[in-house]
Amino acid sequence: MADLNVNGQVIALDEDGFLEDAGVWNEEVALALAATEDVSELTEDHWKVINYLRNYYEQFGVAPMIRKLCKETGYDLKKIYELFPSGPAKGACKIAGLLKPTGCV
Amino acid sequence: MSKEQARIPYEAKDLSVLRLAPVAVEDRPKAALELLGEMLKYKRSLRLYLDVCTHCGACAEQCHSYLGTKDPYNMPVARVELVRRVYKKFFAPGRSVFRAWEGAKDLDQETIDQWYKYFHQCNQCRRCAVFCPKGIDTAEVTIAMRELLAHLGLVTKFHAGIVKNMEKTGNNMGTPLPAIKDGLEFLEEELKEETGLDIPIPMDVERAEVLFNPSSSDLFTNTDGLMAVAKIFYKAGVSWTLSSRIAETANFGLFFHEPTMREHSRRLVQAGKELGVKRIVAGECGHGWRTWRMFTDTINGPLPFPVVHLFEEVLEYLRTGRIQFDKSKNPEVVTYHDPCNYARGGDLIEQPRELLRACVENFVEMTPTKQYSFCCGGGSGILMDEAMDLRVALGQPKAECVRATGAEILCAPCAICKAQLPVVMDHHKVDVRVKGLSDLMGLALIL
Amino acid sequence: MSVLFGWVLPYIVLIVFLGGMIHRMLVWAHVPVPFKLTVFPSPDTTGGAVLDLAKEAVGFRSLWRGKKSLWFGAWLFHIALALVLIGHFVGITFLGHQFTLFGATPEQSERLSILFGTYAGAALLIGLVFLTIRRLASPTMRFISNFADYLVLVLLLGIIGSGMYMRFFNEVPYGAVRDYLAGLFTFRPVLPPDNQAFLFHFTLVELLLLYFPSSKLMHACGLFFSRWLITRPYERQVILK
Repeated sequence: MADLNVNGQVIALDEDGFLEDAGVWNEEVALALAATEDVSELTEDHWKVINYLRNYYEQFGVAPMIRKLCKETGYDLKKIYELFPSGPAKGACKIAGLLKPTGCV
Repeated sequence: MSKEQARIPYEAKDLSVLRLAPVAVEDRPKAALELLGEMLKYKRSLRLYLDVCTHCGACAEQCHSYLGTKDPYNMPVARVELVRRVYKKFFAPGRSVFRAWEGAKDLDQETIDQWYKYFHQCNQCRRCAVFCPKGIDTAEVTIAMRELLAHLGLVTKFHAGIVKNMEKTGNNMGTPLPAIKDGLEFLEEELKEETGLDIPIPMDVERAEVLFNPSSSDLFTNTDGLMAVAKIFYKAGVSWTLSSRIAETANFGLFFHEPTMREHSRRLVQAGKELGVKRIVAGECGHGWRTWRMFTDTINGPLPFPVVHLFEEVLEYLRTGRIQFDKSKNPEVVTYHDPCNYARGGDLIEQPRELLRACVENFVEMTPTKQYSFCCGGGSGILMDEAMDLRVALGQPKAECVRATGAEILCAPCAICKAQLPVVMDHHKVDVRVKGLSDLMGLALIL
Repeated sequence: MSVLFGWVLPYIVLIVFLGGMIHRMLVWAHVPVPFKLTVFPSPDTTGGAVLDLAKEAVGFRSLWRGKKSLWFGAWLFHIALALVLIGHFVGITFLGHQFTLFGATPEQSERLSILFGTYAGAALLIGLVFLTIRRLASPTMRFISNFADYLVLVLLLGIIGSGMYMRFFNEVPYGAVRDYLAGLFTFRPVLPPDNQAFLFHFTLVELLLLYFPSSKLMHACGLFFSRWLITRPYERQVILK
């Protein structure tokens, strides 16, 4: 996966297109990551999911249960897939700058 | 890190967690020969399988990998031949001219590349062993060859990442304990909301009757299953607990690295001993179950308690009347996918069916089924995103079996199958929802 | 020449054949089996597992589960081979008079012997031709075949073909063959019968036996070792069936 260029700054991505270093995330990086996920613009709904993921990640160092994400944001899974076509574990986590969830998922 | 990746699945760059010294690329053929020689000394299965194949081809049409990809090297006989030709050259008995007739070939870099590629296109499903007149179980060869590749420094990034997570956190997803506890609290609230009852999901309860070991994906995507288990234990009045030391039944070490498999097994047995439980109950995970059922006693035995499967445990509650199901809660047409490591690998064929018949109204069998069932295509941990094209090809025969049943729900009680099958069904346009058996039992349980 | 060919070579062949076969089985037996590899459903007892193995060895049940055509060819070939081998031992030992043991007259016995031998030989040939065509006709079969696979087929075609030739066109006197073989077994060798078809047949058998321990033909013994790995019973820790 090619690296990301955000305002002239090169951001390293891993092979799956996730941030190599979650610490470099900011809103502009999120916009650039969204472009790699075919999400053309980040609406208020998107930001609600992204902000929840980031807050959880900062507290626990991992993505929340999908069920909890849905409950806390008030969006059902269908809505989340509408917002992030590759799903909560891939699209949403990627744009929010989280590490890629792995295991039997 | 290199941005150009030649191999699918991606190879791991950091193998420190496996405690293996990487081998320089140019030294790999020589090292591979030494490793193969060693393995032939302690794995009778490997030696026999390299010796007794007659190239009859009975396996070819039975392998979903060959049927799905049409790549001739994915015929089990041809896959094993990639090793057999090296064996014939360097290790087989008999005069070299005889061995040359049997296709003896040097071990070069290209062979190692082929090993990496084709031993990651075998799901270790063991279906070939059912149809091979010699009983050749290609999964044994794939396990051995992945182990050999690991010693050469060739492990998939996906598998290495999982082993690292497991070592650090006791689960494959790498979820730290505070996050697990937060998740469990949330699920208890959800249970309260759903049922109005205080149904606990306890952790680290000493001298509980049962230590339940779920798949970590039950704590992330398949939460319905874990909630169902909590309800069943609650209703049956059985004291149970999770362990903070390990919340993972999926033992990825089985696929490619025996020391990792042993360590995972040891960790669970130790957790059970420390908590002083009467038995360990394994959650929905195919190969994990095979490891507990077939290998744990050999590695860590004799065990002070049995390791049983959730289905055996629940079936006993059902038969003794401690729980009851209301079938009408599951009116849809349901078909059952036999995870390879339940049916062929772990002696769980009739138990899940008895439970299914008790908790759904319309159960239809798939063809082929039971020990003849096709793999979902994700077996042996082929769940990487970068291998998506391969995964949907491997899953193609299963997709057609499911389509033919016309079922609305596909019951697939294994974490790998649950991750793989929705992708496969979607790709092949089979309109079906994938659920665990626990989920269905949870819906039908009369509280 | 005939001393070497008729007397020395057969003993060398026998030593290589038996010695090689035993050696390879000992090698298998000495490699450990670290884990239980049972494929389910499996029998619960050792007796059941042995029965399973026997059914497989006689009925080729694994092949029956798959393509029936391959089962037919393989089963016909192997069963006919077993019958023909038994027929050779009995027919040559008793010179075709074996059925007098069951009350037949010597003439009837000879006719029965010829009848059974001809049918079994024909079945053997049909099975072999089927397997040969199967290997040659399909591109996937050719992909997984190597020189040794074809060589074994050619040797067998030669052996069975020459056997049937002797049966139909060039009958070799049983007596001479029996005297020769009996001589070999009792270490009082006599000259082999001077019959080209017989010598051709006998030489090909010797070549096949020489090659046997180094070849895939060892599946005749290995089958029991490899099937045992996946058939052997493994008692459950908690029985709940």
